[in-house]
Amino acid sequence: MAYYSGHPTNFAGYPVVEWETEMTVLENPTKNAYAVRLTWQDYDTDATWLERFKSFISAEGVEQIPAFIIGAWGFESDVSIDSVVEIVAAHRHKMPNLKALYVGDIVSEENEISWIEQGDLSPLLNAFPNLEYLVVRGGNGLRFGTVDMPKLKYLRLESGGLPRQVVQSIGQAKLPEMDTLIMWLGTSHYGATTRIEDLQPFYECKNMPKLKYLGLCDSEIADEIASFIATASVLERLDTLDLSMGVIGDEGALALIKSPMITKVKHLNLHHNFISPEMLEKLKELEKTGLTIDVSGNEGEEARWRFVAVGE
Amino acid sequence: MHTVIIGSLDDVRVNLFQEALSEQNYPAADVISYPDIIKEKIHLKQFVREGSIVRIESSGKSLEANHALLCLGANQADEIGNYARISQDSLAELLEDKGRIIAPRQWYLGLRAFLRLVQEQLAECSPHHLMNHPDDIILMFDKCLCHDYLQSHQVSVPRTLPTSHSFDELEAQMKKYRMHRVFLKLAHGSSASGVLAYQTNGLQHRAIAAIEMLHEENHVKLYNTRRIKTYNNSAEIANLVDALCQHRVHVEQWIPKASMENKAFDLRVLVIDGKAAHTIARLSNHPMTNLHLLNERRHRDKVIEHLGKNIFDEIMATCEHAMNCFPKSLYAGLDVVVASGQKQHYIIEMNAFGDLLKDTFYKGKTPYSLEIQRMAQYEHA
Repeated sequence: MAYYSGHPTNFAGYPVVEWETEMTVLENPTKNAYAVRLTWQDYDTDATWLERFKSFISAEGVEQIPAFIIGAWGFESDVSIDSVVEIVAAHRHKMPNLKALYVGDIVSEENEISWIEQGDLSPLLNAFPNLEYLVVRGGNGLRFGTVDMPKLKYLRLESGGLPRQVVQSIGQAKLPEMDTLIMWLGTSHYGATTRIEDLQPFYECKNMPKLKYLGLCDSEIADEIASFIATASVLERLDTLDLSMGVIGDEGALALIKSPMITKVKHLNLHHNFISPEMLEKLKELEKTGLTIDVSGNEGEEARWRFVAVGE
Repeated sequence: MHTVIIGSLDDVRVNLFQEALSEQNYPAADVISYPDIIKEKIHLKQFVREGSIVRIESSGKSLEANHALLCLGANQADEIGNYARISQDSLAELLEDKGRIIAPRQWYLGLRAFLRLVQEQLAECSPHHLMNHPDDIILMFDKCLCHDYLQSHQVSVPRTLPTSHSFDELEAQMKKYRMHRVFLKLAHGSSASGVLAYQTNGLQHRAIAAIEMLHEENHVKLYNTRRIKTYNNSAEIANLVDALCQHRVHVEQWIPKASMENKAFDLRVLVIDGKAAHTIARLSNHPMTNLHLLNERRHRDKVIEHLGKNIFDEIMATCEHAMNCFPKSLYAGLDVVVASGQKQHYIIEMNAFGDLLKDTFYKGKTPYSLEIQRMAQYEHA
């Protein structure tokens, strides 16, 4: 199933400006997020992302931008992200104030999430150690390497299938300021390889002492994840546990209900799962303790095929 | 006011139009069926009086009418190529096969011959008022010709590829013209019938369609389905495209649609008597936004709120401009794609029978009521 949110109009709190070649002077550069992308109108031209970026980076005021969005960099499978990563990293001194970065703002009407070819983003992370906000879309080939991001507060990884190496990188990362972590784990059909043991570090999230929002979303092993995380000590300090868009059935729901830890969080997001109406009622009883639960979009156990919300 | 409807008795369209007439205290229309005209059981002269309003309506779901059109089409020469044809003998059996895509080109040839017959008969009738003209209906029922016609009148339409006759040819065209995502549509299909959204990145292939394939010994049968199917296997996609190409296809660029409430949408805009009127947005989680696939819709106010008045007005102006290219007709339902980013919009289809929009009002009027009101003014003019 495709996921149709459009391009963000606001990113990390900044209104998004679609950068166009004629913008040689950026207006209010400190106030906006700038997006550089190839659009569908470039399909039949010789425009390249690299050329566009070179023009963008020489625009007046670029030194002041707080947020940058990397949109589609090509439409053929052989256009690699490596040269994109390389050129942006090489221009780190031109964007010294960068706080927010989006790598792969590509919507399904442009390219299926499972077709987005990511790569090793560690040169980018190393080039911008002051990032506070990072979003990556697409899981194919994605790697983070060793992560040491002293200021990162928000990390969202959207994918149809996230490689376990990425989950392991986050589990071992230095993320002292991390507040919100959202990972769309996806399905094995689209490259998800995460196993429960890879999630072990998230039981305590020791490396993220300030974590308030944990999202383990869109997973085909969501029942196992729910059972695993239901008793996690990290719940004691979370505001939100987000297990949405997955395939949680009554087994996972029951594990959540049975765990005394679950009422420690303020909000539990179970949107788009496969919990039966009877079990949803039991879940709702938990709300008496003050916990709020989003159970919208649950299709029940008997749904013939269970799918995560975002795959293709 | 006396009205004659050429359509199918007991069809929802005819019934609703009769209701609209009755609401405005006009007498019920005479309804003449397609088969009665085709088989020359009647002549329109017997019904059309001086000053009558004549409405040519879709044959709707009437098996009898569609059978008659396919029979009529069987005898028509095709000036542009060899597309799938069905003999009259095997028709009855095929029509029983529910949802089957039979021979849309032949159906169209039949429709064209039928509308020309209607035109001939109307020429022999007393002076009357025609709502939509047969010439325009014929043109709108050919997506390839209608696209080219609109383009030649500077109406904003998507880029197209020359019609393909096979999957290999389609792939070659997509490469040559650098189009990585296309919509392939039956040139003479309505709603989502035979529509395929196809994309490739040179390595992977994906087709999404409301089409079911049934393989038989040496050929493929195609069925319309309400369930959207995704095809990822290129051999299977090739089978599907090859089968569709036997019926003449229209191939246009798949323009990324703007989104609303986290769904892709397009617009159906009804232009009546030169003015854009009823407008709805059709929201979808997949590329097929056609309503009968149970997608959600949003009314005009929501659309204005979402797009902003300026963009909305520009779109309405484009629709009116497109409809002005058909000065002999009163109305049409236009399908409009707003590109992601909302800076451009394109007319992707004009539907001569596109005014069936239930529970949709413009200035308090249903589409049929508004059309009747406009026709009444012409009658008195």
